[in-house]
Amino acid sequence: MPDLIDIELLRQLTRLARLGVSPDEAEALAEDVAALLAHFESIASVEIDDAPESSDTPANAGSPAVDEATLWPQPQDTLLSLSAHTQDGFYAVPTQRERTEIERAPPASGAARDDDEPQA
Amino acid sequence: MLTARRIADQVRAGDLDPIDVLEQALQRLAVREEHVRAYLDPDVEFARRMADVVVERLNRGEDPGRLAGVPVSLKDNIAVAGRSLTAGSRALEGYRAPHDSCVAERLIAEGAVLLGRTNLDEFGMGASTESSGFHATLNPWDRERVPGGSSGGSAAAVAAGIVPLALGTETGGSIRQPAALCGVTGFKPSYGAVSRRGVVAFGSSLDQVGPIAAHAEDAALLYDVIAGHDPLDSTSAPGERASALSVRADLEGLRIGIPEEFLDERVDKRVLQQIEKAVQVLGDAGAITKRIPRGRLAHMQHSIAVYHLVACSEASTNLARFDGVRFGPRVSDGHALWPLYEDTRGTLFGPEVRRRIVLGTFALSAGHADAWYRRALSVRALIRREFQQLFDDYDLLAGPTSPFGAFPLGEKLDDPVAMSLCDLLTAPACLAGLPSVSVPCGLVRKGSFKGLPVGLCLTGAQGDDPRVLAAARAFEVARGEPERSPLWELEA
Repeated sequence: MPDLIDIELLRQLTRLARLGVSPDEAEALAEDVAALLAHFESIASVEIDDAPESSDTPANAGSPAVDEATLWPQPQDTLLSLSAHTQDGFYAVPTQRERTEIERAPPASGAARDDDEPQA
Repeated sequence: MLTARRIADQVRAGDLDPIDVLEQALQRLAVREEHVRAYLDPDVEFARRMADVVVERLNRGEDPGRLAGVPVSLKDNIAVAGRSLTAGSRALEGYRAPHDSCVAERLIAEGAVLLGRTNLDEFGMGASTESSGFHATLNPWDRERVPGGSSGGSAAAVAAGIVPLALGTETGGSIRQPAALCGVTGFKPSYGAVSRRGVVAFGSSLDQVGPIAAHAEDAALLYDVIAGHDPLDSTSAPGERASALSVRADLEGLRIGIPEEFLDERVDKRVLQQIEKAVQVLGDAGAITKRIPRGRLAHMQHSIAVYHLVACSEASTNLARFDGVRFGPRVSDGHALWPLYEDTRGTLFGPEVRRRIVLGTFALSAGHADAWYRRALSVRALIRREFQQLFDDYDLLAGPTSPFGAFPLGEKLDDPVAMSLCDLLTAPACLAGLPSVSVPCGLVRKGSFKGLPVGLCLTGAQGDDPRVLAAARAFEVARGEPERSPLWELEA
């Protein structure tokens, strides 16, 4: 298999994974992941035509639980208590903007503003 | 330190006060913790309240249960309601669990006194506990060396003699490898034997909770308490579990195979010498031991690759939920949502976690998933089939747990390929869902691991957990009390 990880692909992957990495970190990350993939390349040579039907869980795992709703006392309060950022009974997050808009006009870095608009 | 079984028996009989048991453990913690840094949060007051509850149950004439008054430490990725749950990550700093995990429920129901949250590699990703988001844990045998990982805090706490029992979790070797490097017993149950409910997920098709103990019998006791079907975990195997303690600890007539694939050329030769002695002990105790020529586990050589591709793929999806909105702290300039995600995850996840998320994202991505993720699943199925076929001829398989002893702090931290080899001998059983135990089998006599413990790994067929634990108990009896770390008897 060819070396599949370059900086451009690494940037695509970190975007998919929503991971912010600096340019220096991206270079080191690309090298590490490429080294690991090179180490794992041996599986390309394995003859898998004879492989049993693949499954991601061993055979004796249980059957899926019954898919039914059960009451959880005060679910909203419980869920909101897990987040450090809530307002008026909702998760508080900044306004969603299109990525292109963000890239065109990156905001100045700094502490969280007080005028964040909460979104449910 | 008394064994867990003796503590529970004496507490149930009214001969031992659970508060005294806990206070003795806290004295050991006060003296020894600074030498190992095994805990993220000792959570002492919570433990005292739990001991009080056991006393109240005794005063009401109730039987507190099979772990009455026994201090048990939990890896900090196992939820206990209202207590800290960081999974070793800055991304969950300050987070408190909203409910008990299934295993915590079972421990509490049987009278255990939960003592502290132990350190781990962030989200269980690592083999040295150096990748914790908070601090490294030190090996009780040599503070310049790692305790193994990712359950290094639990293994170090037991090996330092602070608690007789702890819980760890294992995805590719995270219970057995630190148990081997710290000189204690660690057991990874069959996949599905123990509920994963309330455990912070890393690789969902691999993760299992299991005991780490100073004695093999205590590992069996703790397994008996935590094992069993859980209707709220869809991967929990149905049906009753046989009790591990009810199986007679006897090696007589057991067919134990030693596959040559387990004696890889990358295994330290002085570690192998200890394994040869351990196999001799098994034989002297009545087991029928036999070398299995190379070839029957032909696909095991791909275990590291398959393990990392599967586990990292699953981790990349499991960890998507940690984005600064619903759980834990946040890093944000407050202007837009997408940078909030990227800044939170990019800043609060450590380098090992970021590396594995990127690797998993790659393996699952369009254009690459067939060549990497799906192929890895097929090779995993081949590995599993080879193990199943071996158990037609053998009751157990034996070999070293780790290719080497405890290595110096920092030695492999910047070399992910070298670090990945720590899982060389443990990942195969995880991929195949097999029960597997590491029991101490002596100290290395010479060389770079001189004076450090070696673990013998015994692996059984899926669902044969009681037999694996019975063999470990019998081995411990045949060989004698394991060597203990220098901290074991350390007093103030």
